[in-house]
Amino acid sequence: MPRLLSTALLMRRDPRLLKLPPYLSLLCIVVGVAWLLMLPLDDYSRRTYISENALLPGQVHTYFGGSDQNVFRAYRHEVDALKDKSNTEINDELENIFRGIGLKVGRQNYTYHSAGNTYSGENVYAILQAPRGDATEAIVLVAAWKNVKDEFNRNGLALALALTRYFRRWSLWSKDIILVIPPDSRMGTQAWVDAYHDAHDASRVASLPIKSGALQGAIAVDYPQDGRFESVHVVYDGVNGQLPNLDLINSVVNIASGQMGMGSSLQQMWRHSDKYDDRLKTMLRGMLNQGLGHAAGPHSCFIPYHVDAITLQPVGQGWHDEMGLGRLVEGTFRSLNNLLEHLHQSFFFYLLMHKERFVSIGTYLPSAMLIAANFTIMAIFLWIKSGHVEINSPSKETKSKPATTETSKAVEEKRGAAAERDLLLPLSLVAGCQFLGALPLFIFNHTPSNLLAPIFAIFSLINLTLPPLFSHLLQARRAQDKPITLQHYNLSKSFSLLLLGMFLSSLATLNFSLAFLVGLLATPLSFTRPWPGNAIAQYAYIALLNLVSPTTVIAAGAAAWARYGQGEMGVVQAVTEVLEEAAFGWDVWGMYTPLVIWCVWWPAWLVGSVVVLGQPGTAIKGDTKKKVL
Amino acid sequence: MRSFLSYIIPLFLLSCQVFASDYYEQLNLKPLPHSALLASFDFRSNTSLSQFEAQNFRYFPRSLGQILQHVGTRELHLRFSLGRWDAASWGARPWDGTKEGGTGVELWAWLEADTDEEADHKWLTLTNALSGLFCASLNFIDGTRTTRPVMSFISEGDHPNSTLANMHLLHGILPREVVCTENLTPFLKLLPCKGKAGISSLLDGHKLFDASWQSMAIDIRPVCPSDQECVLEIEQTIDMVLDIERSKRPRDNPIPRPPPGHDLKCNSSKPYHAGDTCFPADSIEGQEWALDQVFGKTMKGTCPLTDPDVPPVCIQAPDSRDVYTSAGVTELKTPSGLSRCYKVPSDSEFSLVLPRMSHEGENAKTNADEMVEPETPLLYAERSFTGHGQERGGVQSILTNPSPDTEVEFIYMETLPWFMRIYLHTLKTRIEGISGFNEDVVKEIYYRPALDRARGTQLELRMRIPPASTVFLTYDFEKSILRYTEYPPDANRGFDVAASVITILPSTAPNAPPARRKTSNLRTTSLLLSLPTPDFSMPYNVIIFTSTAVAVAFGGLYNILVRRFVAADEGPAVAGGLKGKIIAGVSKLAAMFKGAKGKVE
Amino acid sequence: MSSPLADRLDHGVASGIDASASAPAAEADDNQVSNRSSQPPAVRKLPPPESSADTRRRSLVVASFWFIVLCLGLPIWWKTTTIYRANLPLSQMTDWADGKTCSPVFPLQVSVEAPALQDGEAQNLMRITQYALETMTDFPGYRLQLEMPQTTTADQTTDPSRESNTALTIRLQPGDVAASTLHPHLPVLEVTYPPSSIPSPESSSNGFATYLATQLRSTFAEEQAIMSYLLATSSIPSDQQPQGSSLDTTESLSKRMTRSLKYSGTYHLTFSLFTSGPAPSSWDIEAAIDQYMKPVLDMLKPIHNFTIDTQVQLYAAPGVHSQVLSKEDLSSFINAAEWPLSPGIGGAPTVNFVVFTGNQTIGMDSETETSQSWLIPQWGSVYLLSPPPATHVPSDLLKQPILTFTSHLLSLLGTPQSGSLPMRLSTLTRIRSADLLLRASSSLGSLARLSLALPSISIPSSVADGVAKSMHHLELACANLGSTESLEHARIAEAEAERAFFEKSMVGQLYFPDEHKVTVYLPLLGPVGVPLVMGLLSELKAWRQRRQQKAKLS
Repeated sequence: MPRLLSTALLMRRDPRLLKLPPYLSLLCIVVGVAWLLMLPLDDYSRRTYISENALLPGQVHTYFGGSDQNVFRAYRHEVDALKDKSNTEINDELENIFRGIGLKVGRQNYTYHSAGNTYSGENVYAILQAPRGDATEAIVLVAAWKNVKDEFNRNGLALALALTRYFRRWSLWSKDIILVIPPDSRMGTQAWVDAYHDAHDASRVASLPIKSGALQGAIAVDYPQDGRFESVHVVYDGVNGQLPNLDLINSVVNIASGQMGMGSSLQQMWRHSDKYDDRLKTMLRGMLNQGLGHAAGPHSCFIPYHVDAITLQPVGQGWHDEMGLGRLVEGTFRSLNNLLEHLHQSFFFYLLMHKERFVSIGTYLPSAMLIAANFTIMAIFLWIKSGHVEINSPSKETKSKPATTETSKAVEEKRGAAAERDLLLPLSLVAGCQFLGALPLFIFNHTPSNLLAPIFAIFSLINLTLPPLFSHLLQARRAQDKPITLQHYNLSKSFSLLLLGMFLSSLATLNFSLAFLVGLLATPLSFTRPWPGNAIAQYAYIALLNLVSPTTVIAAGAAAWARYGQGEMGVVQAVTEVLEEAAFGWDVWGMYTPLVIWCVWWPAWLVGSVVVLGQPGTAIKGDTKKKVL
Repeated sequence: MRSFLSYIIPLFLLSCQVFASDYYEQLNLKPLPHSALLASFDFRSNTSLSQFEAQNFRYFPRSLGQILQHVGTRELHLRFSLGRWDAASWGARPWDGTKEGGTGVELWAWLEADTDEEADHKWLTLTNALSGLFCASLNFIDGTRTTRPVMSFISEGDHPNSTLANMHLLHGILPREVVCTENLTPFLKLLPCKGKAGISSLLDGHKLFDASWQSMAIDIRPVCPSDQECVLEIEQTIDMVLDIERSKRPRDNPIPRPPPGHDLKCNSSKPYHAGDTCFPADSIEGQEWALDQVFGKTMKGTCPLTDPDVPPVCIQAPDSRDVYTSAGVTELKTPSGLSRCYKVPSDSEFSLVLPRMSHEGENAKTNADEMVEPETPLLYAERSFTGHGQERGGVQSILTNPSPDTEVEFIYMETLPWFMRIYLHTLKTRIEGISGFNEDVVKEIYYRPALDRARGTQLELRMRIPPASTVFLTYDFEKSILRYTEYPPDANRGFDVAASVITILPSTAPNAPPARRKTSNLRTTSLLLSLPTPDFSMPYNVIIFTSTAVAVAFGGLYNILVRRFVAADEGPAVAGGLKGKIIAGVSKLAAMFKGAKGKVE
Repeated sequence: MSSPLADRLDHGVASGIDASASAPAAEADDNQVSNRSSQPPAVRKLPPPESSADTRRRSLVVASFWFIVLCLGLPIWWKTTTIYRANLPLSQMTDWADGKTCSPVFPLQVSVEAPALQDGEAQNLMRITQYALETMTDFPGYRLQLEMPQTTTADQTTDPSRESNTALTIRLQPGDVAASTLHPHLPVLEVTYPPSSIPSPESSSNGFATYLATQLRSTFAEEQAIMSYLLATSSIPSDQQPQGSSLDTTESLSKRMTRSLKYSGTYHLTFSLFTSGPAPSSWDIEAAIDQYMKPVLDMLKPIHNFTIDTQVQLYAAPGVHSQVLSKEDLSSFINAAEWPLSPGIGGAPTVNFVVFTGNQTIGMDSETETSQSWLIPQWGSVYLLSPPPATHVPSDLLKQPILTFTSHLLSLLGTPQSGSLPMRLSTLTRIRSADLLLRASSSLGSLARLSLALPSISIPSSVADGVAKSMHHLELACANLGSTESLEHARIAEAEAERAFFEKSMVGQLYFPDEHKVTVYLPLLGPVGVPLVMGLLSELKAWRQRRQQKAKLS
């Protein structure tokens, strides 16, 4: 072992080894991206399968239909009659219907403040107590009054009512069935789930009057469109990119295709030829949703509480009617009802690329980890490099032209001599930048929505000018006694990269996609270096950095959304919406994407650009002098 | 409560003289809102203590009697319960809740023993014997599930003072146990008339266990009437709430297929009412039902052992409700006008029909005519978990006193498993609905902390709740991590926490209504506690992994301790081994590189 | 590599530098620095001589590691992985099993009371009769010893139970013809003899003596048959068995033996009145039992205790509904699913006596059962009672059933059929004790064989205690065979032996193979063991070198 170490010692002293790490980290990045692109191939992705035997999806006959359709129509009439009423009136009427069916009804008020707006509403929910059961377990059926796109979920509501009435006739339920009707899809369920687990802030969210047992699963029905549908769209992304157990999705897909003969689609891939590019597209869309970490539907808020939930959206024009969707829900509930244990068998970390293809965490994690590793490699490399005197730094080259042989010999001697590291300045720089990150986070979470766009513009401008300001300040501070050296830049870069790598690698296990995306956008930071002599390179690189700066990326993303997203809007409005969403997520859902962007990515970017703009003074001479005497 | 008593009390009078003829049985039917029907069967038989000691069993079941004598049980109560009583719509519980247990199986008994150890040993024998007799896994009531209640349970029998001295009360409950048909069969075997004649011939496993709520109880207690010799009384009761619509379904076709559109009961007053659009109205009007329809079979005469004067069937319905019976049945109405009983000829079959009462048209009936309004119970109790996560949680019990004027005093008992470590200092009560009430609702606390793997937590609180107010009782607990082998096969389902028992004490007020003059019981639902569960699939991998880690650590430490570090060029011959080659190669390369550099300069 | 290690290396190098500086053959510092950094060293230098303190410290380190492994690790490992095996007296156990220690073949005293004879004559008669018994060919091993009670006073009230191990008493009375009758209630054989037939002192054989002998033999024939049957079925090798009874007797015996219940100190008698209808619902069972069964139970007291319970069961339909029950029906008549005939708890085996009121009868196709009742081996018996007029069954109606039950009880207990009741009971005692003795010793033997067969099975100390107790009681039982206390001892011995043999922790002990453990712990033992061993070897080598160097120097 010591011999090994001693050889490593030798290698550490070997100058060419010091050239290796940049290429190594570049390799890491390339391999990481390539790895991700490989995943959709058949050899790397797996077919989905049901691993919880108790589910038995599609094994039961479903009887919803027949005269229940008359009831459904009646309920739809009731719902239509309520369309323009106020939240309370709606809930009064719904409560009457529930009591008529013979359910226990509860109501809950909530109020949220975010980005200067106040969101408030009242949930109404009904508990169908399992005959012969005691309140130990429960399944949830969510039908929001309005879906995430603010469309009126009329069929979904009527269907939910008819289903609940139908479920009451069965005596086989082993778990209670809770029907939750929030006025909207974004915060109503959040308030309800928080209160259900008593994790709510009593000042904003009222606690629930009646409760049932532990929630075992939740299905949200989102059915605004009229008429018949062709396939059902399964939305599964949770807040902060957490996902429901794969078994739930599989059983829904299984029941839909196997029993109902209706198609199912993911990530708005309406037409999915099970080919590479479609798979890749599905996967990337999934990753984007996961990375943004926002609530994709009323189900999303359940997942952080380890309640597996999905939203079912009928899409397309086909021959399936509401009863078909009802039978799908019935079949799924029967499966969940069979569960003896909480869903635990299958995967919680996966990337779906087709309704029947997925990769599990073991397979995809390395790509994000490699990207994160490249930062760490660079950081360690810079630490070692800053450990001894640089010879062939460009500044030195220029100086050593007229140098005599013995100076060069002296230089020869000095190569690899240990230089002491001056840590104070880099540490304070990095720490300062990190703490500075709290500033935008605070600002963007507390500005009223109408000011968001201008403030964002201002901030981006500041963001543009901040690096030069910093480097200039550094120069000025260090001008008089001893100028700032290359070592300082190396060290500060090393520290910030170290932090970045650390954050990203740990984030990769929580929210793979976010870590991957941020890592990818931050890769230029690992190759930053001061270009004292050559200004062109410097400016080129700073331009590049500004292209991938957080602010630019946000603006670009917003623009893209405005361009391709549903509903045409101006970029400014898009930016507002994005920031509003972010603030809303931060306040209501506990979404930590803003935190990652402003407190992990942005500081690293800041330090990186400062390094690029750096003007290292001729410090080595002084240092070596000190050393020699 | 009043109307319930109106037939309970005559029963007690009856039963007093019934002691002469040693067997008594009666079925009480009570229609409930939402087309539910409460049917409570009551069988009571007794034997004189002398005959019991001599082991001559006539009506008293021998199999049970032997067990009681063998373990010196003086009084025994056994409960099999399933489902939950919906107090909000069904009102007060039958028998004031004294004849029901928490979900699963509950057993408590007074054993005669000199020491606690002896009592424990006898208790063990008792549970084992009973589990064999009733096909229930009562033998799982071990030390960790057994408690010795201090305040909650009061002995019902008349015990001579000699035995009172060394009687031990032990209580155990199995929330996980699923009560089912295999428990009913032995239960019926204990009856003198088995399932063959009398009201017991109505009992059928499928119907019983399709009920929304059901509770089977066995109470054995010595009773000493003032004038006669002491008798040992065994009382078996079965209470069930049937959903009439569900139990009317024929057994061969139990699937609730949607009815054809034209038999759908619609609310025609709706504007959009049409052939294909129907707002359901069936839940408003009650259903028509018949005894044989609901129970799936007819009642075969009466049990010949009973006193012929006791009417075997009573129904609690106002006189305005019309009830049709089979021929040869004599109807006795109680003066209260709220219930009536039927005398059945001993050999003919008996059935009962309650037609649907239409709510519109001439002589329209109201709900008041259709059924007796259920009484509001003395207390509502609800319990649920708070918090989430694998490490710690909390329990919240909501106790509501609905009565507008009288306060209610009761004892709240929790029996918690040992792996649920409660923090007593977090026990807090919050009262709502009443203002300016500043005295503590908890009057007295008895707390017996848990010992790991030895016994569970026992917590008894004496509380008094002022009228028309709600008390929130909360406490926190910590989830402990079990050993690998201590997890059940379905570990991820969670662990059931037994229902908490609430004993409402008789009020001492002089002008208290009869309902408040005696103790009544109440039980919350049981809870499902999820503990952190390991991945059971790979114990050996874990062992191997850890030992590898240990080995690596050891190797490093050991080598650093015993090896000597010298400069690289001072080591023993470099050529030795692969490492040497590497070093040589590296240094050669370095030389070349230097040479190149030298040329450049 | 982790940075602390790297630092340590730096330090190591630095120390190397110092050492080389102090070394005799040292070059210029600067060269050396550059050399070390890049160039291959021109000349290899010896490592600086290590100070003796370091070497000692190193050897101490190695030693301490080994010390911990040897004195802490190994003992703990040994203690925690060995299976506890209490040592059993295997040889003695096998001896018991082979009947070497004590064969249950024992002499029976037969006392002769001849008040009317002079001692001389009586002795003479006894001698001859004894001789006659010995010479009887088909009566081996099973020795009857005639003896003269010390006090041959004229009083006839000699209570035979006074000396317990006297099997039979012969009362000789002068009469006109040689005749013998068994006393109905006492184990006494009353023989009358014509005074002429008394043998003269010198005669070696005599007609009356042979007559006496044959009488005795016939009296004890059944017992002897049973004994030899028991021995034949026991684990005792046949060479020391009295080869005796013929084949047909053995199979009839085996029928009787299988029919009889396992021996126990107390039996629990359950009398049940079953009826398929609502009546009768009560009966006078107590009175009936007191009247008709108590006497027999009292006589059985010295051997067995009895606890009794009774029950009435209505609406209990039998398993067979046919009017006339054939022999096959009888087996399925008991409706085990419905009838609550659960055995009584608390050890004692339950004997069920079922009175079924119904007008069913039994087809008389088999000779053993009466038309009313039949006996179910090792379980009890059933009596079909024709339905009484009233719902109450008076005790006189129960007379016949109870008497039948009594006789059935006796045969269930395995009492021999011939001879007077007291004779049968004393025989029963002997048979039972012999039987238990054999059982106990055979189970001891099998336990011994088991512990030899499975070396990896654990033997808790409780087993050893059980065996010791069992053997102790066996010896006691052997000491005075045939008496009631010997029966008691034998019972305890048998129970202990059974308990020891069916020890739970022994049975539950599953076999966990050693290679399994090794494979699981190899990742630990391998990497830990190798460096330890290597370190030890290198230390030894170094130590030898030092020795040699010392030797060279001196």
